[in-house]
Amino acid sequence: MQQEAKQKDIWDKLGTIDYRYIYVTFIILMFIPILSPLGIPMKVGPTTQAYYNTINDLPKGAAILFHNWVSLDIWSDNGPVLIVTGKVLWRIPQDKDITIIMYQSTSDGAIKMKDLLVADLKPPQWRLDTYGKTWVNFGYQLVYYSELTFGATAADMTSTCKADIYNTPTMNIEACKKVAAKAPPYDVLNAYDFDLFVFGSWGCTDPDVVVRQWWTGGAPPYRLPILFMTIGNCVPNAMPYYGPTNAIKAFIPGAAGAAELELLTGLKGEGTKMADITDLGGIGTLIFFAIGNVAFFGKRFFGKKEVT
Amino acid sequence: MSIQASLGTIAATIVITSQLTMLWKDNTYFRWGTRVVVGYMIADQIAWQLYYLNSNMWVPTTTKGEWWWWFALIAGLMLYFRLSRAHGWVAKYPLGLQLGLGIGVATIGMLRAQILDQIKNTVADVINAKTPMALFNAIVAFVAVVTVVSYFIFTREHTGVLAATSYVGRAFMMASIATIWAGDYMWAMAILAGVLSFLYNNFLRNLILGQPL
Amino acid sequence: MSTTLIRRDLPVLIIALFGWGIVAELFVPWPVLTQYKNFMATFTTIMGNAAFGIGTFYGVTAEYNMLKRNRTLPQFIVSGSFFAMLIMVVGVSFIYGFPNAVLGNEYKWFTYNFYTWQAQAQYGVMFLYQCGAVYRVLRLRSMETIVISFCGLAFILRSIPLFVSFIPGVMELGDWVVGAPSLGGTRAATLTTSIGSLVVGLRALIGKEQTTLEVR
Repeated sequence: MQQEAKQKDIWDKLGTIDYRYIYVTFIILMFIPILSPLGIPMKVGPTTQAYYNTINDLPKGAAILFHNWVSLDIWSDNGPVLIVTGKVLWRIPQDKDITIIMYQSTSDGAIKMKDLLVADLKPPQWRLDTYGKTWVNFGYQLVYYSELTFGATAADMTSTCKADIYNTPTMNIEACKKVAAKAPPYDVLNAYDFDLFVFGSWGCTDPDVVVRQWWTGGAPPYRLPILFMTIGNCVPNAMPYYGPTNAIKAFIPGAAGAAELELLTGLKGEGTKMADITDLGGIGTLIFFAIGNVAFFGKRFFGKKEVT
Repeated sequence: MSIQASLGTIAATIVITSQLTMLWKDNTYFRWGTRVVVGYMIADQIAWQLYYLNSNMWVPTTTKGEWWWWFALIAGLMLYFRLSRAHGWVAKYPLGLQLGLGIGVATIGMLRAQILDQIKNTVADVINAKTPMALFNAIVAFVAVVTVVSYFIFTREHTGVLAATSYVGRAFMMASIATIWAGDYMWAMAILAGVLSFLYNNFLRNLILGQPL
Repeated sequence: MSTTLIRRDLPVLIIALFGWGIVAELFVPWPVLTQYKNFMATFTTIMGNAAFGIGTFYGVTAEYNMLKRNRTLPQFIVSGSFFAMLIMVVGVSFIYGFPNAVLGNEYKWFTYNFYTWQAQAQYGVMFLYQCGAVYRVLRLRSMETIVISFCGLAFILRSIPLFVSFIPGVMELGDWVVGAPSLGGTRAATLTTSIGSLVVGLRALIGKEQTTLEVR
């Protein structure tokens, strides 16, 4: 029995390109917009529009709980989302009398927010002058150390946020007293008192947790609307809770979503730059997807059959 | 650029390039970069957990008289018994406590948020759809839910109608997996964009060529 | 007291006792139950904080065992750097104002320059591996790969300005994929996994699920 040596035809060669060529190609494609930005604008999607509208449509006197979501290990994707969201919140006009209570729940946040609050996320002067009356920064608190602490915070914020960054006890702060008085019990600051929870995470089970503890939790249920800052692969996990009558009113997925919000608000930032860099990466994706399938179908329909 | 910032940029560039060398093949430089940061992360955990212990336990017990937190510390220290083969059972007590609380806080909440609400919304979306497109989407989602749930029926052999519905359910599951993967792809692309941007702007242009950022 | 009672039954009873208190808080608006929940939240946080040494022990012994198994110069450099960094960062956290040194500039230098960029570079490398996977794995050979390719590419292109700006319908198609077929699949997965978790959780709360407490 003669066996012909297996010779690689064009389809085999096309289908077994060394991975290193692919890596180099993508690195070059992504370097081009860094050297010379393409400046292709994003379009604003419906979820981004809903995100912006939810903040803008808050009634006068509303209270926002703002989770400063910082994950330094994915900062290139997370940073633009947090910064543009923070800027949108800081842009709320003074006459709307909206109180913002913020906290960080990761050690990364404890380190990074100090720098952001004096630079990219510096509050407007009128907010700085009315600290304690119109906004409060609790700093780094173990709000989401576990689901139990998260739920306990929803039931009573002083369980985890005992004092702000200036060590003022929570219920001695004027803004906290004002917000706590919005709903019974009037001396407890809890999820009933807020009108919006801007929450961020890249844990894909976190949409389940935040909805469990801040929407359906409590007796009666808190029903606190949530805006969700996240990354792309947690979008499907957030979708079951998304909708105008559901828990998650809108979400922003990573740098691409941040680019949309920056376009909508005119607050150009890193999101737009990151989205720009991904332009040619998308072309590379399509090219290699096409090459792989051309090789597959070429081999199947036109390739040499093995002779044994 | 200050010396501290310059050294930081150099250190960051070294660890970044150590990771990028893995694209060629596994090598000692890559393993060095990984282990250095694992060492940092373990140290980071030690430092932060001691910080929390101080603020959550030591300060309240010593300055506010909240002596009961000593029991929490003792319960936490009991967890170390899991390192012993002979006395590992001691750790079951604090573990049981944490488990019971975690199960209690999550389980019943799941009933409302992840089960009842999801069933309700699946049907309500169809009934409350206001436009033809919304109705179409709601029907697609409804069919997807029913067929995917049928895929997970393992008490009956997948033959006949169940075979057909579970096949369709598999397709819808692939759609979910695809969007999760695609989101992961885009997220990782943005991270690489940030890394390459750092190498070019911070290292090459700012540090080496002295151009402002 | 029998060994079984102390080593198995009492811990399982603890699961039930503490768990049902939290469950009651979800349904009964008694302030005392909320206070119980808040107290236990801080209690378990302190427990978790105190147990940091377990992870440290496993991490350090794993590295030491790797060094013992492989006594070569490269391994000495790699493991030595691990221990050096560990000692350095712990040292910084003690020298520069324990315990608040973690918020200081010296500590921040390590976080910003080592941790931030190594982690991001690792995820960037992961992206490039996924590029290889797009080429090698996403071939239209079965129903599964066809669906994954179509839905995956729709969502990828939806997130890229180049395609969204110049090709009409890309954004709408990507949003539809996420909002209809994918939504149904994720909803069903959430439902089924939650039913399973609920059953296991209820079994644990009534003391029937002993596997949850297995400790060697």
